[in-house]
Amino acid sequence: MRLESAQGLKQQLLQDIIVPFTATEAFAVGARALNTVPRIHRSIAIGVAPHNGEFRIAVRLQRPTLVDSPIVEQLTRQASGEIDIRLIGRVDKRAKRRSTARGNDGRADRSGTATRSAPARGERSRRSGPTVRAQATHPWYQLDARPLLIGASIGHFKITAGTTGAFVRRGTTVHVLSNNHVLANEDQAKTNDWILQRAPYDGGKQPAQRVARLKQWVRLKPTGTNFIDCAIAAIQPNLAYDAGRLRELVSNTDRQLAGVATDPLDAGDFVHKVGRTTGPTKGRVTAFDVDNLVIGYDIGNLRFDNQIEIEGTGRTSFSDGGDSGSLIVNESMHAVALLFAGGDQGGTNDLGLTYANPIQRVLRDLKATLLF
Amino acid sequence: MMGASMAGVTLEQARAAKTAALQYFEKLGTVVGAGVTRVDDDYAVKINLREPLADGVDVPAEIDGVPVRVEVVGPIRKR
Repeated sequence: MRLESAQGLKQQLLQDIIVPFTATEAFAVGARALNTVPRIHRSIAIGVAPHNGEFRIAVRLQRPTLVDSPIVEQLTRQASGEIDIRLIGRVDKRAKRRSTARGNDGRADRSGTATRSAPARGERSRRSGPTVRAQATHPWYQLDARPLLIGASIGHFKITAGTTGAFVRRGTTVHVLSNNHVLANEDQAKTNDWILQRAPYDGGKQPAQRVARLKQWVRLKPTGTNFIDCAIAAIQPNLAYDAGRLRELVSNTDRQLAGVATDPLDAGDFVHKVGRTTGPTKGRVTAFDVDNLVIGYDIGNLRFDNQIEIEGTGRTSFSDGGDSGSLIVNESMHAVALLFAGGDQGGTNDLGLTYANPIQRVLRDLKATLLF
Repeated sequence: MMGASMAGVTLEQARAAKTAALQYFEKLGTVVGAGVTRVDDDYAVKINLREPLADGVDVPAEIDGVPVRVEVVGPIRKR
């Protein structure tokens, strides 16, 4: 189309679709202190791009979960397919110019900038949309779960939201397992602080959603090497929990947790998780024994060693912000890892990589036994 | 450091090469992860970079005979 037409259409799409979308949609937010949540979230940028001597609408997605989303379908439809959609992920003010690196296998590395054609009708992923907190209906994993369930929203009363990983026994007491940064707010919390399910970002309030009290956590080391990001909170007496149910984990059907895996994960192994933001997802292990893993926390960059790296299968990322604390199981439903970090670039589908602590180390250091 | 590819790389060989690869790539860019992966059923080293290497920097296909796969993964955040 001509430049003037493209500019006019861009303005119309911005006013009619993107502005209302960004005003009402609740995007995935990592588990973090509530007072650090940005007022403006990454979503969709729109512009005009040259194309074969003419112009078309340029859509730049800043979240992998938007790639196959309904709003992208709507934009494509409104632009009659004259649209250039790219995933650009997180953009930092200090971002360096993205030059094309070439790996030793001869494949061009796109540096996380994926280009895709307009999605075909019916191609949309079931979980393609971002967090749906603001919609009329919420998925079960963002609501109160009674009995308490693996995969449901949970968090310290001062953080946004993370995920209920599993149920463990320490001594004679049953605890819920998740990350330090979910239950202990990166070491800022105090023993016996209240844990809410659902978490504050999902509307959890005190005293209604109090379900547990923080008891144990492994401190994060600002210098030196970390191995795990984990914490446990004692479940309130008489509060029911289902330690074995992995709700809707595979093809929308429940699975039963089978215990802790004895064999280590290998690259290529398939895994599953259910988390507070992206729900149930399937992944593939892309690396293990990952050292010198540098992770951005509110307290600064932390180094982790001996971690597991996972990519999402198909056209989905394995996780997004708020999935921290998810229990990861292998194909025989044995626990293998505890999800805690991720990025927007990399992986076969270029929708980002997820990182997790080996569950055996988590349980060992917390002196806890997995219930199932 | 670089050498002929060894047939049937063992896990121990890959782990040893991972350490050498980490030291090698830390001189070239910001390494945000160094792990073990598989390439064509063989163990290999995976190096994760925060940003692409500068134009013209050659990436070794293997280190100590172990294949090396390099990927730009961007910044990693807690989730």
